[in-house]
Amino acid sequence: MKIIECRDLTKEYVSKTQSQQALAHVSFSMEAGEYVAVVGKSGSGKSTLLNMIGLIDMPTSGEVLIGGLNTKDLSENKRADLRNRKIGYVFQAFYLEPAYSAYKNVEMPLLIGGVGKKERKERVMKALETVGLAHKAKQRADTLSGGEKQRVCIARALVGEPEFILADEPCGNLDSENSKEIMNLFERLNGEGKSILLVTHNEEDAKRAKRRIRMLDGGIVADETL
Amino acid sequence: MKRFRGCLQIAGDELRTQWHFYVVFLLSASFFFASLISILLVTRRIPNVLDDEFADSYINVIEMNKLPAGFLPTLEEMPLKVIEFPTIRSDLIGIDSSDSENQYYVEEYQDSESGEVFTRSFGMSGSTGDVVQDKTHASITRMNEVLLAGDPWTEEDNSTYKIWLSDKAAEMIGCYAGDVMELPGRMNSKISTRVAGVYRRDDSKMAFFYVTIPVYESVVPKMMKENRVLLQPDSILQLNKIINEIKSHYYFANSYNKSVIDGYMTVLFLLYVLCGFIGLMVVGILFATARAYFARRTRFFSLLKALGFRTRGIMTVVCMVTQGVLAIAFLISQFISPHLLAYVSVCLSDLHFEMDISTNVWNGTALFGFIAVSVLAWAACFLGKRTFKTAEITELMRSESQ
Repeated sequence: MKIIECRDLTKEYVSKTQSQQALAHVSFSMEAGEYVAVVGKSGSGKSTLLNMIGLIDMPTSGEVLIGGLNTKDLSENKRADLRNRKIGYVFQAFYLEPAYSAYKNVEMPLLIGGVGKKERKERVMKALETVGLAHKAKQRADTLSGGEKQRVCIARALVGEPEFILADEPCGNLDSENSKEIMNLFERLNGEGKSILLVTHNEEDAKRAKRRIRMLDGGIVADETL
Repeated sequence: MKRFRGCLQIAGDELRTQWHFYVVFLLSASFFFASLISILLVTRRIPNVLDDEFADSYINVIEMNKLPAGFLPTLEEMPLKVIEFPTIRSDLIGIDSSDSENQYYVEEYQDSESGEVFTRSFGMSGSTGDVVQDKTHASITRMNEVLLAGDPWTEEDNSTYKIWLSDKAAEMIGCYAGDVMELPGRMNSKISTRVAGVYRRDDSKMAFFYVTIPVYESVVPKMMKENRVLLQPDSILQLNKIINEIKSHYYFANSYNKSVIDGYMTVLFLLYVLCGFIGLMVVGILFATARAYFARRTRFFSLLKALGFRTRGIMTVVCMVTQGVLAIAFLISQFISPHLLAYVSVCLSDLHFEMDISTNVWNGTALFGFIAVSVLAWAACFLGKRTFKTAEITELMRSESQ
């Protein structure tokens, strides 16, 4: 079953002086349970592609289908609901609320989704256990290490039980040790059946995925399956 | 409902974690609320104080000269009181019925400076003499008058030469309704006037007659100073309305202490302006604070949006937070306002302006102010430019990644 399908995606950034094509006629699809790495140099359009799939940016042309649903003509609110229910996002810069505890940060998508208190607690603790941070649930996010922050970010992506996880350079701000731990975590999650779309410029990280899509100048130049 | 509860929890977390920011907001909002409530209360009290002051000082007296008798009922219907009415009828010229041998028609007037009462006579029978009437100042009383013959007085009559006699006067003079009388006018002239009617006034010992304005102005050699009415509006705020009303009805000159009253009205107006200005400042501060809050929390709201929060949800959180802070600010202002009002009372007392200002601030005005500001805050949040389109999140992420 295709959980992600991109059809002829194009994204053009137009400013007063110039226009820049970030994506050029990109088409690809991803099956449920796949672990796909999108690899490319900085400026190749991989993050832009991720933002299109994550429904936080609109393509100039083309279509994105999430679980078979065409998102092209969806309202802003419907797109927000899809983001909340079907997509788990892991950011390079973590985007944790520093004054909140790890628990509170992970709980946020559930609060947004209107999940009841009891269920929230169970799911948050389960997600924190998955990333190995249940013991630091009450700790403020700004006191956590980089690796721990990213694991909280992954727990937050997991807590909503999304159809797939989008990870945008998840190891970009981490040292090699923490990067390894995070990549191991992704591998484990994929092993548990989670679909993961990873964007990275690091070849070593990309090699952990079962399928690699290479991008250059806004287009897909190779789609390799191991 | 569950989403709303989620918003409520996020709002609570916001208040808890961002309390440094909200303390500043809270203090400024409390101060402005208290100022607004205090000024509103003072402004509301001032007109009453002015009315009391004016009632004692006669500053707001409207002076009307040569008021015709027929217009008295109109004045009585207006929201004012007649505080002085020196001549009962401006066009009344009396004749003492007790002096039947010497019949005198007298004009009486009072010197405005010395207060001395003079009479000036002009006789129909060629005799002269001084007859001082008892009532140089009289209050308004509606006398029982019965028209025995002829036509009653109407306002239109004031443009013609007509005279109405009392029954005693008619008997003494020997004139009756329809007769033509000759009165001595100015510069030895003679004024012929028709007797329009004969009245009987039971409670008067005098023989008297009424004349119309043209007759009056022709036979009276000097403008009588005391021929005036002093009127005082019930409320200072009604003053201008009453003056306009009188001007529209009367063609007589009227005057009042315009400069003093205008001064007081200007002070009142300035207080209202100050009140409005502070109100605008409150709204401005709220708006600026909301914007500053948005700017400060852009990252957080962008994240919420990326995690699937709807735009309205973000606005609801902001409104909830603002409303919560405003509610606390309102409560604090209720404790500050009485102290402010007490201070204002002391300051006014030092300026010899005694004002009894109630320090009870739990009233409709304060509540209305709170509700109005709250509504404005919600409106500012919902109508504000910040809607957090997802494109902004992308920009934010891109800039942070760089």
